Amino acid sequence: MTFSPQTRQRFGVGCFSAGLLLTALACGILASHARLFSQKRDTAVMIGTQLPKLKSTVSLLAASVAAEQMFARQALAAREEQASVYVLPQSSPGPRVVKTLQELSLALGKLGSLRFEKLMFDPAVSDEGSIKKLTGHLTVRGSLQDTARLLTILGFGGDMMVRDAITPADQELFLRQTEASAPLSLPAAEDFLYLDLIEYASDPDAHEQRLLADMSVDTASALRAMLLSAGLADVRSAFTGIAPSLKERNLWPMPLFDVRSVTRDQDRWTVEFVTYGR
Amino acid sequence: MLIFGAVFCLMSVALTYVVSPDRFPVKVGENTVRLKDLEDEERRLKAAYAELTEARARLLQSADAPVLRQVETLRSMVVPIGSVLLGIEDVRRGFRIADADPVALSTVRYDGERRSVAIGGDVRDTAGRSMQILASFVDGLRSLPSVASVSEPEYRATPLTGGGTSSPFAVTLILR
Repeated sequence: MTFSPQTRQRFGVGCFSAGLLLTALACGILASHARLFSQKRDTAVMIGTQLPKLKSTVSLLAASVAAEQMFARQALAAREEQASVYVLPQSSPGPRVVKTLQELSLALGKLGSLRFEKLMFDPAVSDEGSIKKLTGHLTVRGSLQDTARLLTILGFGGDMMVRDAITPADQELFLRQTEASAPLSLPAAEDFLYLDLIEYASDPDAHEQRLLADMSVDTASALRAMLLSAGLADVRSAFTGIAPSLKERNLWPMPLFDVRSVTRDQDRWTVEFVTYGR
Repeated sequence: MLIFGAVFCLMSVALTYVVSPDRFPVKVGENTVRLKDLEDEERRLKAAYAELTEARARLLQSADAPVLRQVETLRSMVVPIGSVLLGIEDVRRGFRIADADPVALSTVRYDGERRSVAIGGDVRDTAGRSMQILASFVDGLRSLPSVASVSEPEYRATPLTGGGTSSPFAVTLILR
């Protein structure tokens, strides 16, 4: 079989063109593969830099869930009962407020110049759904310092655990800092937040020391400073010299104490407040 | 050319399968890792995160603590007025020097509905700089973390009989 010169020429041109196309295709495949290498490298760097933060978040969440599970198993029922009896009682919160206020004024009177003058409750209790509001008026005599201290303690009314005295954002920051600088202490940090508030306030140094004992000096100092600025400094300064007697007489937790107004007339202070029942 | 093109194309295709980026380690920071290992680790952590978030949601739903939940809601509305007053007192005491206590507070009125604290008093200075001390006192109040704003008082300096000046003031602090 012979081919004409024209056919042979066309066949040759066709083969050459096909060869060129295949070469161009091969170059395209290699260029695309090189781009893929570059993209994969960038992806690896991105994942690599995000992984440590993701690991930290998962670690924190695991510790939180473990602590919440432990709390739910062991302590939730007890705290719910405590809240039902003392913080948001079905009976009037008035008597418990009176007892705690008198104990506080006795203690603050010894430590400073505060004198309890009068405490009155409005006869009418307002109903707001499942919550009953009891309005009261308290009159004390004393310096701004002593009265402010009394109001600070009353402001912790309803707080049962250390975590109740710290905002959720500050709790998260504390746990994150613990996880970053002393990860083995994370469970102890969670337990610290669930500690009974009056138990902590009775001996804050001992409880903090227990938490920070296994950490380096720098880490312990930084975490202690964080806890103090998050609200525990107020707990310490308010309850110093007072917490043990409140604990001994079973006067804490006390009902929620919501101050509505404060008026000062020389050394006489009149405080209007609301406390709650169910 | 056809044979060259065909062989080149076949080899390129073979190369993309044999020389895969997943097989080669990548330097991330100080570590050298394989991309596949990184992707597997990321998948594992994301799965763990999803599982833990679900476990926490189940815990919150099943937690039978209606009173504690009510307490949490009510507690979020309480204003820590005691801490605010202590903060004001700390600022006031910051101006003490030896026996001199230039800033005196005579009136304090807290309104919970308006979240405002109105204070009034008097600044006295034997050197005649009572307005400067008052201005610094107002600045100190502004720096308190729980204070959103402080009204500007009227500034006046009244001469005192024994020398120096007195600047009575009334300011209102709006709380955050």
